[in-house]
Amino acid sequence: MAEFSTQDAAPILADDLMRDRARQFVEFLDDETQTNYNYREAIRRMLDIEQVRLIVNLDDLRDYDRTYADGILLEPMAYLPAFDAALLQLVQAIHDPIKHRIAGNEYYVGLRGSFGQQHCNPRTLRSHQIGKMVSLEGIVTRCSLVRPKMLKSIHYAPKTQKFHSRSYHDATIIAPSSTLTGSTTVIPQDDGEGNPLLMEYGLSTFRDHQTINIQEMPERAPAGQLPRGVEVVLADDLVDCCKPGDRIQMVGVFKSSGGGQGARGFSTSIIANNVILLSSKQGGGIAQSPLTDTDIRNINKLSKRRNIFNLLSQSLAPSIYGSDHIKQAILLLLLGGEEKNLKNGAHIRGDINVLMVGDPSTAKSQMLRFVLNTAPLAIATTGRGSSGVGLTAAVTTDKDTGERRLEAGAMVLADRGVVCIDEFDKMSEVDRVAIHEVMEQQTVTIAKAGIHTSLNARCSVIAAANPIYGQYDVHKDPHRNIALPDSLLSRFDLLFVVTDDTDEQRDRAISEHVLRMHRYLQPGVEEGQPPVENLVQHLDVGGEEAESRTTETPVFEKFNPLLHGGVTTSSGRGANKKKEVLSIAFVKKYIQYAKNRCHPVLTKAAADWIVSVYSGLRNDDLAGNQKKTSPLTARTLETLIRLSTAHAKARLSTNVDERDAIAAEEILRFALFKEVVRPERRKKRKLVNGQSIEVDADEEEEDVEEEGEEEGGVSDEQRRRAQEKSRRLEGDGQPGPSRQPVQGDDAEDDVDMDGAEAALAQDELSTTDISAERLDMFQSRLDHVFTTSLGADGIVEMTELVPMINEGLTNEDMFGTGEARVALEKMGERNMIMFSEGTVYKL
Amino acid sequence: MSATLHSILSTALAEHDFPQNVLPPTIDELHSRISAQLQDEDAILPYSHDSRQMALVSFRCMLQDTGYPTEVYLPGDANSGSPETDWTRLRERVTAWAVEIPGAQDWSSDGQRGLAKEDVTSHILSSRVRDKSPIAEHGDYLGALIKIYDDASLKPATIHHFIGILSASPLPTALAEDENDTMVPSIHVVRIVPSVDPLISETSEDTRDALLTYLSSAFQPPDRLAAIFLLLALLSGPTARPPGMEPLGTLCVNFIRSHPASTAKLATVISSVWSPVVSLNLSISMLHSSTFSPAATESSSLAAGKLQLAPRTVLVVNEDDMGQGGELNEKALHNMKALAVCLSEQVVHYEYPYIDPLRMDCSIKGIIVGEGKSLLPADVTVPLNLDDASSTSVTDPSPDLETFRQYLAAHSSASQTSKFNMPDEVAQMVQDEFVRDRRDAGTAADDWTRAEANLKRRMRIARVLAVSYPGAKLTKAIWAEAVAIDVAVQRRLTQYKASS
Repeated sequence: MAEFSTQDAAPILADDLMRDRARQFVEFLDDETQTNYNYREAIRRMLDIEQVRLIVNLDDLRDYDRTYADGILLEPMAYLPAFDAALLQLVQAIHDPIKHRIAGNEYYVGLRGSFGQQHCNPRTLRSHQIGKMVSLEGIVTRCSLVRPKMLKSIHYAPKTQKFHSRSYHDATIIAPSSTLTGSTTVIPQDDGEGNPLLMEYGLSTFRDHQTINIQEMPERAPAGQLPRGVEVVLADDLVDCCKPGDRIQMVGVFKSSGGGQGARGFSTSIIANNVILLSSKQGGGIAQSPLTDTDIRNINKLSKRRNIFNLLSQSLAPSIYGSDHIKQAILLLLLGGEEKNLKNGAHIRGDINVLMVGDPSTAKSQMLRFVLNTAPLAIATTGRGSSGVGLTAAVTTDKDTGERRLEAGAMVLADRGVVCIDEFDKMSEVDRVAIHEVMEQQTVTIAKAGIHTSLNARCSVIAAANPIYGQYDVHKDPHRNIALPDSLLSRFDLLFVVTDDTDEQRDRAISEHVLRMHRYLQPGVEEGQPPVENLVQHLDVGGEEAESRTTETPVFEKFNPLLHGGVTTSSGRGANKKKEVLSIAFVKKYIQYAKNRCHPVLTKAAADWIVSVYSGLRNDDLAGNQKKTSPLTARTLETLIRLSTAHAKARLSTNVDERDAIAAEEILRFALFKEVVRPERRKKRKLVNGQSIEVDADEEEEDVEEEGEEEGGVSDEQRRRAQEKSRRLEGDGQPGPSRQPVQGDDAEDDVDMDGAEAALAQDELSTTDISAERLDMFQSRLDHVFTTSLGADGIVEMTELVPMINEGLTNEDMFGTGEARVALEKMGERNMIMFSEGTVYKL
Repeated sequence: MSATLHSILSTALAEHDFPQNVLPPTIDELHSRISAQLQDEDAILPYSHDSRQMALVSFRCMLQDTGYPTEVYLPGDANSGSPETDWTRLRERVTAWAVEIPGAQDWSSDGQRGLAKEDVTSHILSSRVRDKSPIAEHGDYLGALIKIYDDASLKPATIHHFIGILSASPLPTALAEDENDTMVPSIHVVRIVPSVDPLISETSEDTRDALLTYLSSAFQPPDRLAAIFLLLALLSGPTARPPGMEPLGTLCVNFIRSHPASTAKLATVISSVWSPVVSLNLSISMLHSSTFSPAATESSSLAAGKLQLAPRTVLVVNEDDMGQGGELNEKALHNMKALAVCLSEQVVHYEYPYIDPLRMDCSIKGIIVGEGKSLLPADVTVPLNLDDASSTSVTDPSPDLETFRQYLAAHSSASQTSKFNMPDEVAQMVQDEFVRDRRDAGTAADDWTRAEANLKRRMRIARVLAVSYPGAKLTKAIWAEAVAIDVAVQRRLTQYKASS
């Protein structure tokens, strides 16, 4: 091939030249004094993660010695083997014999950096590029099978008892022509003296080998012309690094293999040297961004913050105003719960599914797009544009062979990822049924055309739909508005109804936010100029990815009031108070870290809480104006577990605590009833100089919470609030003056509550006896409860009963748990009720 | 040409596999022979299945697949003299798959079928290129791999005229492991004949009138009004493509008749004056079995769809075989949509794996015949003469087809359509008329939209009608004529609706 340059240097022996170059490359790689690069360290890291390819930035080499960089680009056959040899020398010098196993490995240098003129696309690849290093981009359209290729064969001659070796080179190996001489592709049958040879397969060296086809990206092709393709050969560790449909950027040597004379012409291909997956936006592979030590330190530091959950969720889609609960749900969805695979083969889903139903123009699709761009693996479909089999899997007949084969659908391809389905309601009934199985069992079972199999489809589903008549009619039941069957709705963990209410204040805020967004100009663009498109050619090969590997990701985005108007999270207090937004790159890393590293387990407290919430929700009869958006089934219980697990992941906690359960409940309640926990506007007592001064706590909300809850666990305040909530919930059936005044607007209530807490605490301690009057009072209260609240079945848990009994009682009169237990036991003795193991039965 | 004739010939010579018993000609022999032949372009034999290897052929063809990577070759004269191969002399050439122009008629210069129909079986092309013709189903078409030694940027579905040396070479493969290369005919292009616009000879009003009479004989009974619309459909074609709108200058006509016999001669009549003409008989099974859009599935080669047609092709869609209808699956719907988009937007989608379909502009004149109103978006629906009272018009027994062809070629040429203009006073008149119509239309929303639809349709008709006259100027008289024929058609349509 085009080794004319080595031929020019004929007087100097090629081997010497190569040794010379290798020495230079060793010097370059060994140089630890440079600020920009440190390849010794990189080699060590490469060995640690058991890879065989060292990625070298061409610009670093150019800094070191321009002729060598040019040599690599223009005469890769002469320089690249020297570079590889240099790497091998260093690997042998650096490696730790105990830790690293390098025997039998070949080590390669992969290139990135600026390629200048050598950057082309399949259309501009011309004959003058043959034998040179090129970089190009394209879509992988076809991958061949991975086949082994023999590099070196060992033969044994039984007669002479000698071993012979023979190495094989073909056009897919980058080597100077000198080493090519004398190699054939024929396996020798005798040793030249007529002694037959036996081949020793175990001792021979084989290497993986694959050819792929890449096609010009349509947006780069000239208008009106068909995209061109080019063939690429992948060898060894590069094999299987991409799959059809991926957009890749690759570096390789453009080589012509054989041919020349005769009808065949020349066949050309590119021998890949480095393959970089471009962003996985188009549903490519799960491209994990590497985490640096600094990143992990930042993540851990940030996870200690009390408001980390809000901070993360508000940093999602900052261009969308409001929708805080949906953003929280999306954060939980991205984090995911914990899936369980039981020994008996049962699989419990860990992925969270979310459905948004709402009026047009409520940024539902925007949310989907955001998920699409943030999740490591996300596949987008629309209800109209996809059929049932397109989502799950189809059996097709191969055109050439007539064989039947499986074609994976979107949900199978999105295994371990997220499927975003827009216009969910427009999907036909038949197609929708096809995804029932996927959403709960997370498998796709196929039994047709002689193929019976089950494919994994462990994906989260986030879907957006419009209400049945386009606009959500608040006067109708949610069921009538959504028009999706219960069987499907129950598979969604969270169902959000997004209504486009006209509320002047909110509208103003939104319009202000939208206008602010439109006032935003890209940096470097003047008013009136069209924005710079993101379609720029990546002239710097692998720059983005490598940058993220070496430089740390900034944690915070620079706060831009034009972009981040809707953000409310902030840090510092008083004058130092500033709004904060995490950078999306950091959020991605945080999610990746939390998702992979944290596997929180449920604590007793959280479990109790979840049980009480679930039974509370299920046994509620709702007030007339409250309608559940989705049915309450046993799946809801799992939903609570999943949500609280995901919430714990957001805190990087190893335990699912009570507060995770509380947060999960809050989101679930919002999704079910659009019920928002009232803002904590309360008066707080502060003792200054022994006098109590009332301070309006609203302004200091964050500060207080930071103080109060940073110690971890659930604060009294929260516990009280939750207790009060459950009480309120139970009181929903009979609203009226009898309701316990809670969270009042004046200070007295607070005092009352404190008193009540104290009384309760006291009562819980005294488990001795009960006076006759108290017993009478308890009895009459219980009667009342049985007749009003319990209805026919007459079975109640004691933990639920006590709040009911205490309802409407003054502080002094309230019963503690201990007291109630004694009273119940007394009544049980008198055969008025049956009381066993904490459950009260009416007789 | 960047490469000299000598160099191309020697390359072709070097790459050609001569049979054992044939002595290859020397390069000088070949060079002198070919140069002599090139002196007289018209005498060069057209490419056919009978063409001899290494002969100079001329091929008017439609490029079907231009997506092959450029091919690297070593010029044949590179190592003349020295035994060492000079690798610096590698060059690249453009390759493309070309097929005979689908629907080209024998009388036109485009028509190029080398052999009698019954002989086809012996010349079936290899299975690898079987799906690369828009019309032939079984590979019995004329196709060749074109190798151009020049920096050409080729677009698919365009017509070219090549003169070159016929040889055989393997098809560019998708992956190197497909070793069993199949040899296909290839043409080493030595000259690209530039296409010339037909000369616009002055045509008299008589020609137009005689043509209309001839065209009306396509219908049984002869129908003058339908003939006018047939003429307009033939002359129509996208002249401008304003962004976001349907292209201007097109007119897709839907003829409705109660019995297939009344349009039995339609295709024959059209193909006697127009080339290329492609008939598409829609049926349920055909919609399910064939593909309309060109698609590159797994291999890198592009399979032709039924809609990958040369520009200016008349597509006669016959809906009779749709019968009583039936269920259409996804593929059939996809095909129907492709056809609808092709007729209305003049765009064909090229489908590639993993990317959105590429939208390629096309220029196809749609004529739809059926027993009822078509599913496809037609600009004008013309029910054929229901009463056969006017069947008295006599058809010329020996029509002057050559004049008709000249007339049609001249009036549908780009130079004629680009002459189209609309004087201001006519525009004002049309505007006033529209305002009056709207006022008279009544208040119902239905009427309002109808007035608007009327204006759009009449503008389309008037535009092509103006082009059918030498001046291509939309005068008041032409506008009045356009309105008159439109009114006549609408009256028929109302009658038709009432009767059915």
